[in-house]
Amino acid sequence: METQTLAHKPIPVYVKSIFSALIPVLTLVLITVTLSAKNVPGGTIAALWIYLLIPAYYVVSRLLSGKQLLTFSHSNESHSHEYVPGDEDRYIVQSINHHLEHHESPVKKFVKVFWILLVVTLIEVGIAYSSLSKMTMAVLFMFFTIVKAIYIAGTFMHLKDETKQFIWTLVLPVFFLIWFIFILLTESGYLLGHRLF
Amino acid sequence: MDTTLSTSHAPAKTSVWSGGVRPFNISYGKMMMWFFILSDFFTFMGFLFAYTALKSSHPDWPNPDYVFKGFPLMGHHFNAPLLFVGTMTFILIVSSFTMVIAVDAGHRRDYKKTVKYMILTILGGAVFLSCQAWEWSHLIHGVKLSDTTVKMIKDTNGNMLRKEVPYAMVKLTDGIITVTPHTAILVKPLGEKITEEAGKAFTVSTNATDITLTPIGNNKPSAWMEFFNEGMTFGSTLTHNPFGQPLFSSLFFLVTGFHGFHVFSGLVILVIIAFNVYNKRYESRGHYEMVEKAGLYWHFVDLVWVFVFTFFYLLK
Amino acid sequence: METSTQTQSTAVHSHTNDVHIHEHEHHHHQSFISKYIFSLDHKTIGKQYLITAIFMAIVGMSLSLLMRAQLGWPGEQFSFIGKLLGKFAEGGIIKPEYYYALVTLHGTIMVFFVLTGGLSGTFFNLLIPLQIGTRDMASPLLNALSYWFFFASSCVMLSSFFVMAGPASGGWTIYPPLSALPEATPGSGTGMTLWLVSMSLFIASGLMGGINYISTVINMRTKGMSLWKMPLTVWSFFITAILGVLSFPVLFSGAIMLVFDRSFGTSFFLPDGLVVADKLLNHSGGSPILWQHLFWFLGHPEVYIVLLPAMGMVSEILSVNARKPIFGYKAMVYAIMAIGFLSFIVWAHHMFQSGMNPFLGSVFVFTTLLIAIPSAVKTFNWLTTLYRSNIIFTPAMLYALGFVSLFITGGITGIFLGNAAVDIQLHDTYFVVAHFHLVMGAASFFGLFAGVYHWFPKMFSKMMNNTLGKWHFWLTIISLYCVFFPMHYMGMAGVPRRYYAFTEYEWTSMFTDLNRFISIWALIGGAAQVLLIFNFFWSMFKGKPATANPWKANTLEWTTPIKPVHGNWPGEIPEVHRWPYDYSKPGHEEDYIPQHIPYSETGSSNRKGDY
Repeated sequence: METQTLAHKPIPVYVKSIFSALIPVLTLVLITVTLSAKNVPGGTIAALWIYLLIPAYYVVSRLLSGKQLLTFSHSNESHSHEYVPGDEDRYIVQSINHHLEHHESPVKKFVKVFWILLVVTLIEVGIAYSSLSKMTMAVLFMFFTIVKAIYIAGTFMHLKDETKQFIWTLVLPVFFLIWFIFILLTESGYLLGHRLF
Repeated sequence: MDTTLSTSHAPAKTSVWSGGVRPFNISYGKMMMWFFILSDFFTFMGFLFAYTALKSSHPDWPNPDYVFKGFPLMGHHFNAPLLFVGTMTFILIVSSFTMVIAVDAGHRRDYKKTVKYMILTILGGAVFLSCQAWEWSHLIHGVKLSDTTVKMIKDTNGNMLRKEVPYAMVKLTDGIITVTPHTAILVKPLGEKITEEAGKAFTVSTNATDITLTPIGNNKPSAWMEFFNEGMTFGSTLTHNPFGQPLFSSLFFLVTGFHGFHVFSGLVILVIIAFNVYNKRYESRGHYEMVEKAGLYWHFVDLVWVFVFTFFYLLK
Repeated sequence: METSTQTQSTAVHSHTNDVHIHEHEHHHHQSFISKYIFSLDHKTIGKQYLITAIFMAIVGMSLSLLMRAQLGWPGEQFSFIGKLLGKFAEGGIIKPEYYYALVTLHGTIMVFFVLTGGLSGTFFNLLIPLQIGTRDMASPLLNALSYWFFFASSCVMLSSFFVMAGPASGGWTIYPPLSALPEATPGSGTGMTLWLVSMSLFIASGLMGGINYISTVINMRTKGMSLWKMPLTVWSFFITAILGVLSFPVLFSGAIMLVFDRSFGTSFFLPDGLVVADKLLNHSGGSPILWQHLFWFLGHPEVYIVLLPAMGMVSEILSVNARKPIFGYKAMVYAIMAIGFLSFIVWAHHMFQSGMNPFLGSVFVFTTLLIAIPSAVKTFNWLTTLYRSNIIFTPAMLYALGFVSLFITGGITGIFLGNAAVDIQLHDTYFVVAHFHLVMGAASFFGLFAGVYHWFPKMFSKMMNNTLGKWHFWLTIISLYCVFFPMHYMGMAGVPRRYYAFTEYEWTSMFTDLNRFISIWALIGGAAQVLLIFNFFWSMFKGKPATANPWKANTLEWTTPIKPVHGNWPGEIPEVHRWPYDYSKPGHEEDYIPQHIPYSETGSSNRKGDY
């Protein structure tokens, strides 16, 4: 019987892999964004298909394997985070104490992330001074921005310590923004081509 | 209740989602803060996407490297783009770092350390705001363009009209020709394109470096002469931007202002909460979750700055 | 007895929130103000929303009747309109500028203040804690603040009727440049400023409400209330709250940019070469289409924010009164999710004719037509729920059936309008007016009515009058169809919407009779609402006392005491053991099994897959 509670495991591998997978995926998407800025609707077409095919693939594969579309289960039996109305304070104290017991002092980690953020910012400034092409720079800047955002949200905001489902809850809506910027860039590329001076 | 029945079926059904459990193992206060942050992130992205959309539909969008290159006390000829804003970013990262230490100390209910690091965070935020104030006033009051980028604009008699303009774009607005500095790439095609339209008042000829405006008949180019004689400095305002498309400065002031407002409100929240921690207001609750929630907001301000930094200063 | 239960609930509840402790200490000598006005109780807040929304609905409906008076009898002098509107209708004829203000305010009030604030505010607050089994919202203080921001925003919106130049008149979508230039029309001045202030308050209110609803549903469900045991009402409220939290902020950023355009001379949405009053403006470089993108990124999800709660409540009411489990419960949930997801990626179908990149037109036709799939899933599930069922025709049920009817009628025309090519002909005609009034306006109103009739006993511990309710229903649905059905023909003939009068051209003046017919039915429909309002307030005081579970429904709210108590359940919160749709289950003596009845007590009806 599994008695470990959900949140207090060491950071599971899948959370790590989500974070590491996000980087190439988002970079790919952002490269496409940049491409579509040149009034080439190809980027938007690709985005449209990625946008619709990923959920479609998910649905089809779940149905084919005979699973339910959404399972809200996460097998563990004793919940330290049981909800009883009126015990919010006790719960918070308990979960903080639990956290403190099972984690060594995170200050080292914070220092590390601080240096990473600083170095990445310096690299960005360095790239800005280099003679790379505008496009290459744009891709690199977006990449490093997302790296920094992930470190801030993941470590400083403790998002990495939250459950996988909560991370997805916050990350998934961002895809609407990616769709939004695709549309706006396709639109402004068209406007650029038709602008009268 | 029949216990045998419920136990025999219970194991298959329990999950974090089956009710009576916090599925994310997170208190509702923190969760609400996260959802507020998500929502506010969408607001910022609305601004930044509007910026991107307007930028990519305008060929005369200024290069931020020409606009932001000063540093306090370094004089007008200082030319180091990103140095100052890099410092600002550094300050914000430091304040984020001190905040995370304060949150950790709060977890340990070490109220002295919490207050100490919160005060450091507040200082960092205040310095950041001051830097932004300098950045704004610097942009509003204008810079002198350095001599290294001089290109000349001459009138028909060969008199040099303006020395400090690095590059120029000619634009017909309201029947008056104005000359605004801009990037070199645009000079040639624009000059050619405008020639036909501007023919009524002037003829425009151009080569890669010079633009020549020739008045036809008795047309006195008073409007732009005045503009040239105005002075040697360029200042941007919400509606006016000598570096190119005015929307650039409009959006710059709007978005950095909106971010600055977030920093300011974050400071107010931090001051109140630091005060409460110092007075041991949270001791009766047994935890300092308020510090953590304020910390989430503060880191969010930092997170947004990362995006503002990229969109406004880095992307060209 | 009652006192002791209250004390008990107080004791259980008082730790939830610090703010609450203060309220509870004075529980027994609460004044009228702290009990009914600045209450933190979710049920009271829900009622406050409802009363405010009823008032706003009366205003919104009166505006539409004024518009219909103008369209049905153009040029006719109505002395009472002259007295009502003063200088805006000299001699009893509404001025063209004021007509546009009527159009704008009718749209704004109905969409935002009645069908978003009123519908969501009322039923989310009332039903979420009751149906998922918790004592109150996650943060009662934020909840109360959310209502008071809504109230303030309603006041600001209504105050715009009393400014000199009249209220905003750029349409509810406030497209620039009409909205961005204070000098453009009389309504673009102070009226538009008030509109923007009001909407900012509204967005703040919506955000505070939204994060509260989401957190409550996620964190505070009672034991056993898994996501797959939540009633469809809660599912739809949950998804709606998510839509609101994600879409309103984008409107907020757009609105701030608009404020800057109006007041500080920027030109985010103002293109070159605008001439106002023979004067060339200095604005240059902006894009009015950018505003449309920002607006409709909110605007389309907003349509579903209006519609989804009605869908959820109708699903619940249909199932209760058909005495049958809802057909395809999970399919319904997936359909709600799919509609919520798709609502974010279809917005530009409002902009086919705006001059945007035509390529985007083809993209958005594709995504738009996808919405037909989940909508059809829901429709067929409602119909199959009704198939061979044992329908009890309560007023709530009639309204639920009316909702399905209106949703089908209005939804089918949506498929026409979603095609960019067909939209060239139909855009901005009365066809569009008919479409969205049926599918979104009237249908959501029917959801609201159904909800009011169904949950009135829970709100006021009294029953509403059934006969009056049925009269109200039949008059409303007949007049609705008589108003909106002819508009399809006018639209296909090309009659444009938002026009002040159709007297100029031969081909439009041939619709004068039809317009008069519509106006007469609009008046009848408007008069019919008096029945509801009378029934509502009369029943509140003089209605038949309600029983604990008048509709024999399964959901948890009917397990609470008839007289509502603070904390909802005087004792422990019931535990949930089954889904909410166990109606007419074979083997059980009664035709319903409430959610909190364990399977151990219903041995005769248990089946293999039940656990």
